[in-house]
Amino acid sequence: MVEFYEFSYTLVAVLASWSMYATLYGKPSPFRSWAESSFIGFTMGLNLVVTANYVWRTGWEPFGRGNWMPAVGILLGLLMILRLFPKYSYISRVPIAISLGTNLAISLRTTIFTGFISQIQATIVPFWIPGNLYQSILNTTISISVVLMLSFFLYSTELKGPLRYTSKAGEYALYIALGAVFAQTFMGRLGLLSGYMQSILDPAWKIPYTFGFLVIVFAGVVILDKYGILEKYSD
Amino acid sequence: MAQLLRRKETSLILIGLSFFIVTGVYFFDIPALNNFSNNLVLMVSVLNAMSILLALYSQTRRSLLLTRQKAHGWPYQLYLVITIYIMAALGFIYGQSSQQFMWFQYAILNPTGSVIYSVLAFYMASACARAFRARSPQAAMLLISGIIVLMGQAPLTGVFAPFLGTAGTYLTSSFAMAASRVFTMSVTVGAVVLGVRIITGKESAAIGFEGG
Amino acid sequence: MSQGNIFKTMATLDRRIIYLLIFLLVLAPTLRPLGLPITVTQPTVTYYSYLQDLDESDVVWAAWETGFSAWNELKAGIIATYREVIKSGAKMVVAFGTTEDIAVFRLVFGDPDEGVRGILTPELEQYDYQYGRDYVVLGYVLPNEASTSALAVDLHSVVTNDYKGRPLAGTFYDDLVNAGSFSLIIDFSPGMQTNAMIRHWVMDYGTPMIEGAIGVNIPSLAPYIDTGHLKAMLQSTRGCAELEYLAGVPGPGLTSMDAFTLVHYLVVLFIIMGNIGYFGWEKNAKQTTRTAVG
Repeated sequence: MVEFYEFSYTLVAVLASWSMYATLYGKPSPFRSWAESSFIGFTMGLNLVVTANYVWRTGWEPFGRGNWMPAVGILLGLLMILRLFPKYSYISRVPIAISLGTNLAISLRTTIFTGFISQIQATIVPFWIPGNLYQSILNTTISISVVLMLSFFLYSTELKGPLRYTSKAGEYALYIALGAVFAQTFMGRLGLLSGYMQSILDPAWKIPYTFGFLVIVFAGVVILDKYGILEKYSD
Repeated sequence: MAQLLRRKETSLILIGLSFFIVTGVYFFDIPALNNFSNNLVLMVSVLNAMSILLALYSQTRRSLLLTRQKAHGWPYQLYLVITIYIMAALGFIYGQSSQQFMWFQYAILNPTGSVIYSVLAFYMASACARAFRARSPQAAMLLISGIIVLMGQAPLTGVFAPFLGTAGTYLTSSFAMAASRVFTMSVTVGAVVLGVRIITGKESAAIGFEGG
Repeated sequence: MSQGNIFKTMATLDRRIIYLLIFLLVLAPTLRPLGLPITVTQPTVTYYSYLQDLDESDVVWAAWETGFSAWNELKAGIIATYREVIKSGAKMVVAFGTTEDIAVFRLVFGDPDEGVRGILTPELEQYDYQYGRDYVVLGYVLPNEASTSALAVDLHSVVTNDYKGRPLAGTFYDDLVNAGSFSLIIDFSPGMQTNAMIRHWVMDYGTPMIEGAIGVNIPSLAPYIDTGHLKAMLQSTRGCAELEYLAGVPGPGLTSMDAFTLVHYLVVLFIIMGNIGYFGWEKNAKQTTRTAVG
């Protein structure tokens, strides 16, 4: 027996899903406009509540334990809003400057290692690994490709002499990589589609409602389009 | 005071101070500095989180303006603002893990958030049929590589043509990996350069001064 | 129909037919699975080995950063992973990286306080895995890199209560100090704080980290496998299905695999057909530019 709670949100969810998929019709529709506005509005409301909770727990509660510094973050956060008022926007530069300096310190110190030095170290690897042909080919391809691709991205110097050939080879390697990345991206989006379809078709009691709303939404879109009012009632 | 805050140098000093306090703990083993640095980072995490207020204010102002102007689709703008505050009210009144607050997440955010991204699967498939053409050697390489990886990703391929699976894995683990590495390194260099330029006052637009 | 028309049809296939075929090939096997065989790849085997190595002495940092969209892509892997964690008896600290994750977590673990059952409630009961004793939920504590970094240095300076405001004092959380207190980081993410965790948790404290990545993020996270920052990566729904297979508990991932096979082959067919149409008609025709939607 399905509880009314789950039943009610499932019905709305199925309607919202097909309303969102109405975008595939190729024209704006009131269904899509409703779903999109709902998405933005409810997301923002959610973010506001959960973030406020974080600010309360992390910023205000330590104040009760005698640690005042995180609470200053709340004050500075409020000052940041002054950015929207030209007369007082200069005050907002204080929180922006503190935030920038701290965030730069946090990320720059570590990103140089993880994003640069470690990447170079992982590129300079033995081309030949005895007894492991596949890994040898892999290592060789990665090392050579990285160098070739980097030479393709040299914009500050004229590509002539050997650089002309390495950058061309780098360009080809990049296209091969982009083909592979495209396929991986497609896999992700297909996984999401398939996963979401499961959630509106499983368990089986959802199936009639899912197909029922599919018919309602797409019939609605087609009828509104036929009478020329599809775009009139969209955003 | 106002004059002092308006000066670019004030912002640069604040940036420099924050930067050196946080990085200083890695050079000087001073417990007080350590403690202050940790608290500064925590303070900034609160400050960063509060930037949602900017988004909230901007969205509300924009939607209400469009509603007042009776712009095309204004009822949706009004509805959007109402939904923001209904959701917020539910969360503040009943709590962030309450059934009432969860209902809208399961009813609206789960479907819309998932569909908005999964629609791309349709567009990508359509692009494959209608726009992906081997017009040049480069495009041909992209297509061949894409086909091999797509075939390798199909779970059944590994059963009847395992070599395609191996070839697909090779392409993703070598060329795609190399490209990602190049991008990672380039982005890192870019981020470091931008960071240094901000600290030295050469990117003043980032701290709210017009004209860079 | 003349030969030219066949090529033209291939080159200018109606997008509505494409959309319809995709829908049908996803819906049909979801409603009636075909049970096509799959193979297991090495990255998933490595990922699974890390889960198998867990035991009661371990403490896992479980970062939930999926939100709803990535949840629908990775749910098979999330369920299979945490089923293994529960079975192992390892302690777990749960942290959220997006505002939607409280709701996502509740789908999986339920909410014992309100009598809400989740997907893994039977396992929680079977292995007597209890809130407070075996796992705690910190809530939304990973909103940005600063918070991720602050947590890595000192957990207790950032969080002293759980996501419902109850004090964590008296639980195993008391014994944890910083990122180095954990035996393993498990992150499911579209990439919100993944890089920050790699930088501040893995690099500074050497805590091993395994990742469940959405398809879009696989290429950007792959370099960290090579550098050793990430120990293993579960790759999108395909990897999740393989994990279900290895764990011997079929679920949503394996159900998806039929649609995966069919749609992947369909897309390859589209590319081939489109190019036959291109060389047979489009190359010599006036209309040479076309987009996915127009």
